[in-house]
Amino acid sequence: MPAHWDPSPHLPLSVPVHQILLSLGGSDRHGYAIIKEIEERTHGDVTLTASTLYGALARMLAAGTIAEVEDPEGDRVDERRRYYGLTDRGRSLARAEASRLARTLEHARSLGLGPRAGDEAAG
Amino acid sequence: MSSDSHGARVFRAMVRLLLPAWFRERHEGDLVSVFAGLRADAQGLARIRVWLREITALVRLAWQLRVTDRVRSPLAGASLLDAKLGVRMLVKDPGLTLVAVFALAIAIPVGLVPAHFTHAIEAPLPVDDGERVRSIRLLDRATVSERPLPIASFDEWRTSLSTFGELAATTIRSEFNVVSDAGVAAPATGALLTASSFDVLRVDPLLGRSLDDADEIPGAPDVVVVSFELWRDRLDQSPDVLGQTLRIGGVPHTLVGVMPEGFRFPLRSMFWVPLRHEHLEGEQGGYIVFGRLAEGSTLEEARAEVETRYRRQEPTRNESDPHGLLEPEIVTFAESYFGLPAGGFSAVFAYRIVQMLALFLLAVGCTNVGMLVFARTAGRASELAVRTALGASRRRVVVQLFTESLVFALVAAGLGLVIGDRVAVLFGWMSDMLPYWVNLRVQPVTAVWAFGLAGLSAGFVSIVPALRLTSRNVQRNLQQSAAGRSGVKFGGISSAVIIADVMLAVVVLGFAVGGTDLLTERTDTMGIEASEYLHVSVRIPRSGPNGTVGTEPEYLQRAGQSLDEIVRRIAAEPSVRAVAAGDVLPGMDHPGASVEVEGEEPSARGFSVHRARVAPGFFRALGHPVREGRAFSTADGIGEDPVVIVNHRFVDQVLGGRNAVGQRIRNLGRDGEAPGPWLRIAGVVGSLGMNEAMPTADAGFYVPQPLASLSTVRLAIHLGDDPTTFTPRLREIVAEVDPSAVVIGSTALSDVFSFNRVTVEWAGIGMTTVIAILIALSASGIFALMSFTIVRRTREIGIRLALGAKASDVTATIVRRSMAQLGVGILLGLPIAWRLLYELKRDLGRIPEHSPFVLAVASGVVVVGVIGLLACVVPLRRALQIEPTDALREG
Repeated sequence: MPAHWDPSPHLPLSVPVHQILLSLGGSDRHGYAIIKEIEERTHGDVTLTASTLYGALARMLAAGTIAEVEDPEGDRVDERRRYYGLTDRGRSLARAEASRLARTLEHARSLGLGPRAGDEAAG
Repeated sequence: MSSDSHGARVFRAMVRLLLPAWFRERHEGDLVSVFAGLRADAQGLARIRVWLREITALVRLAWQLRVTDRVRSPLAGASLLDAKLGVRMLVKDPGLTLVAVFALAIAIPVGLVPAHFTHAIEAPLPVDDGERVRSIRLLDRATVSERPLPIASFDEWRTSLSTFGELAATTIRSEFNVVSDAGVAAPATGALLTASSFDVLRVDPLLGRSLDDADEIPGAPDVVVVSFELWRDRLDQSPDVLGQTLRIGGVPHTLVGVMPEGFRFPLRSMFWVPLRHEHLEGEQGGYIVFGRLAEGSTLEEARAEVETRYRRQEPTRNESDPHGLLEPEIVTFAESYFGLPAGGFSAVFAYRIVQMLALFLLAVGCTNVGMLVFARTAGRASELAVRTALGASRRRVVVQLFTESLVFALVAAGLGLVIGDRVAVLFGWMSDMLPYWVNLRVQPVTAVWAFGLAGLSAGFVSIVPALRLTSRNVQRNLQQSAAGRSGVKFGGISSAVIIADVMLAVVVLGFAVGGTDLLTERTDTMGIEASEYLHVSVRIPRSGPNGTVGTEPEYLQRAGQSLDEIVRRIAAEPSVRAVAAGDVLPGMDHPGASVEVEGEEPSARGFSVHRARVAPGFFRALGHPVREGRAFSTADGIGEDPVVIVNHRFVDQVLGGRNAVGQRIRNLGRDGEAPGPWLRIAGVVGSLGMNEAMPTADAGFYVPQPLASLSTVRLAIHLGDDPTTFTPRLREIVAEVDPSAVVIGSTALSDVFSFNRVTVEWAGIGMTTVIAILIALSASGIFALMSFTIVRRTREIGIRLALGAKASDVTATIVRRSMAQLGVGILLGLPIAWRLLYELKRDLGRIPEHSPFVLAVASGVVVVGVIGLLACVVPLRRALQIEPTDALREG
């Protein structure tokens, strides 16, 4: 990775791309697991289709924010499955998007438009 | 790993159709597998929701990958409103809609037919993960022909390839008499295959077991596994069927299993018996070696391994491939079965020609419909000008016109699919001649293609007129709109298309009428009352399906004796008038031979003629006494001084019409082989259908062949009316003489199968269909365009009448223009029709005559003239009836 890769031109991220980055931040996963993890984590707010997922994965691979990795368990049930993991570039991009969202949240709070305590807990 | 479900197969087909190759290479497997997983997670109605979401997302992804990632979409912004407008236009202009939908409902399926057929034929085997079942064969680079993997390689590789699981082998088709315990005997198609075949195909039996490796060991008990269909139709679907005995080719076999319904591998097989090593050796090419790619192995890895192993296999390879011209290749089962080159039909030149012809027909249809749309759109130029002036972009207008065309193209595609499916059902009887995996009915992927083609057609039909219409100066359009004129010059292009349509109609009609005699000349070429003869083929198998009996000479002696006795017993039947026996009968495809005549300067290739081997009494039994010289006697074909009998065309074409009897001819050796012995011509007979496809080129000769030296014989049994009623008695006689003897086919000689003739007939049917479609398309184009141009002159006609012109003068002006278009089209079409017909007839050895040609031309002119006149008369009458004042007011 170049020493000073600037993620800012890529911001803001689309919902699928951001969610995929977050999902792979937890651990390396294959396609189906990514969809299921996002669905579970967001309580069904974000459900990706197969085509949306692989369209996004193809672009992220090309951009170098994710990479294909070995099966983390090392015992592939299905040889055809490909696993993906975050690259340094992907981490930096995820962080940049989180900072952007944090600033947005802070600004919203300053205007009294932030989430209420109950909303945050609900998630 | 499980195979794709039906839904996943459709999704995969859509992925392949829509997404670019670079994306599919990397993600197709995962994408389909995730789709299948999501679909499996959902239940009930949620499944439909998953389907809809996934398909929408797939289309969006395809759009992004193919279009938006490169250029901005020209169609973004198409709306439901455009579709509604499209539907409204369909209803508003019913005549035009009818012609357009009719033309596209023919053209779109025709454009799809080649792809549909090849897709059906090249489909993977309908078994679990059938795409990974592949065949290994050898390609002869010298002759570009294929042959099966040598037995030595099969033996060595059977269990030792790392990229394949165990290999299997199957014969393509074998026909045996099958007799059940109940004593019902009838021939059935079966296959001899290795026990591993069932593992490779991953098909489990419905009852009992499939074949085991132990069944393949010579001397093991003879067993048979039967199809569900044989169990249902011949064994009453009895649950106690296991352990019963079936006599197959005279040899008792124990029934050990019943396969599930629909499993008829490879060619509609009704039963399967173990393929033992000695059968493979005797098969000489009639088998296919196949296997399943091992888990995790790719096709490329398998190719590399097979190539390396074959090159290393020096001793065995040298025997079958001394010059190193053979190379192993891995192909699909269908490619191996049909002898297609690797890559399937698309690698066959003739197929590409057919595909281009189909697309040409589609283009003809689209051009005509395009002109109609153009004509209609021209009438709406003022509306479009107003829209443009109000701020609608050019793209927006193009999108609207495209959407309107898309509506009727989709309706036409749907209609075409329904018709196509019905036709496939009508031709269902053909399926028995095709392997079990071939399903000619409309498949989801065909529907996807059809609607894709509808989109392309809509583009073809609408984009050019739309661009042309919107390119004009908006202000000028508005002014012309205010003056009540369409503002679009339409005449030039429409005249060109009408002339092209007329040319096409004349060429096609002339060709059709003048060429019909080529297809109808078949009658009487056999020179006998073929419908009074029963044709059967009797074969004495070298072995039962499970065991060779005796040595080769012993077998030939047994076979010859059996056949001799069978023919003698048939001839003794009271209803039988005579029996003709030979290796080939009149009307069938006769083998070819190259001969030279003694005492004549030998040419390099000799004369190409046909030959047949016939038993004594052959000509008499067929009612064709020898014209000159003598017939064969029982001594011919055994002793010295070999003789032949030639037909009269042989005398004319090879001997130049001189006296034939006593002259000597011989077969020329092929590829440097020594020529055969000299054969003395003993007699001359008339034409006996040696070349049904081209009767004028049926020169040939007959070689005497005593029955006692044959193992298979074809019989023509002279019985009189309805000869097939003799079939049951015939089977009895054959079974009494030799229970292992197989009776194949039992039809009137007039219905006998000839590949050459069937090819010519199918080519004829194909040509007639293409001709009919072309005529329908060009006729509808001529009619619609001519009448539409006249309708658009209604106002002009009214004004002329108002200004005092006579109706007859106005009619003459209008008709003159239409007739000029017809005349130019006919004049341009005539020489093309004549040339095509002349060349075709000369190629087929006919002398072109003028009388059918004149008839052809006359019919072409008459038909086109009538269509043209009708197209003028109907709108003209209406225009002349309009009150001139109304015409002025409407303006």
